[in-house]
Amino acid sequence: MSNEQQEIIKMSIQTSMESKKEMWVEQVLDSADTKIQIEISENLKQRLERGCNETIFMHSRMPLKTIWLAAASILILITFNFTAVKYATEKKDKQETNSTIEYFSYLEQVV
Amino acid sequence: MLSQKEIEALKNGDQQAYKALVDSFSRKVYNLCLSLLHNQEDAEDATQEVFSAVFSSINTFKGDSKLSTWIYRISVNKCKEILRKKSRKKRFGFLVPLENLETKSLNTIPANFIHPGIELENQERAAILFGAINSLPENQKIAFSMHKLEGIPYDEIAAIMGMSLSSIESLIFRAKQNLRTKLATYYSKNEQ
Repeated sequence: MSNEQQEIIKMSIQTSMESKKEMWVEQVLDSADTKIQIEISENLKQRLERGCNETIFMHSRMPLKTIWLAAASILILITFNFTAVKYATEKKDKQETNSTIEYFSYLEQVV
Repeated sequence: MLSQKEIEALKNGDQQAYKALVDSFSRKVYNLCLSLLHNQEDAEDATQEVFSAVFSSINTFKGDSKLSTWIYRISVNKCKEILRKKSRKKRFGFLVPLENLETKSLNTIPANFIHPGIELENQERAAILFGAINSLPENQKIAFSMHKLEGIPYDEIAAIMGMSLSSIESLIFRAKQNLRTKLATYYSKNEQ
């Protein structure tokens, strides 16, 4: 068998292997085409219904207005606390500065 | 499909409207979650979380898009959240060898998810396909799964993912190309 013939055989084998591979790849890619939509389990159905009832219960128990009122109250409370702490710190600083000034002016008088 | 009247009833907390919503969308949401998460338990948990998110935020639905698009968007975000949580757990697990942190290699497609909706004769091939889909980048995986597995049209996928139609076309095209390469490598290593 000549070299040329061997080359041709080699190439045809390679080509057939390649086409086999391509065919397999296409088969795998198409394997999910016939997928059907599956039904949800009875357990999940019950979980969803339970979740639905709980949400309705929450909805009827807590109107949106109440939730916003509570949030606003918390915000006001935090702002008051923050202002009070700030005021107290400033007052303390002022007092300390005054007492230091008084002390030094007393020292000056003594000396 | 829910009518405008039913959507309004839903916003007012009407129990019948909630039931109608669950009846209309639970199957679609569950199947989408299953196609994205490749795990039945995770898909069930995700479906429950999706509906609780839908119930609690129905008042924010303005009707700019279709209700189905809005629900699918919540589902995709929930699935993304679950997938990220899972990958975080894997990354920080002390028993995970360092080489697993690299992108999944092509010849080790984990083919272990058997989709219950696929006919028996195709299950083995489909498991390989799901393994390959799993190794795609997140957006490609989501867009491809929604189109190929759930049959959602391109324009709706674009609305769900908040991207342009051409971006979705390109994402799905690249996903197919990537899958072909991954599967060809898998074939060369395993089937011969």
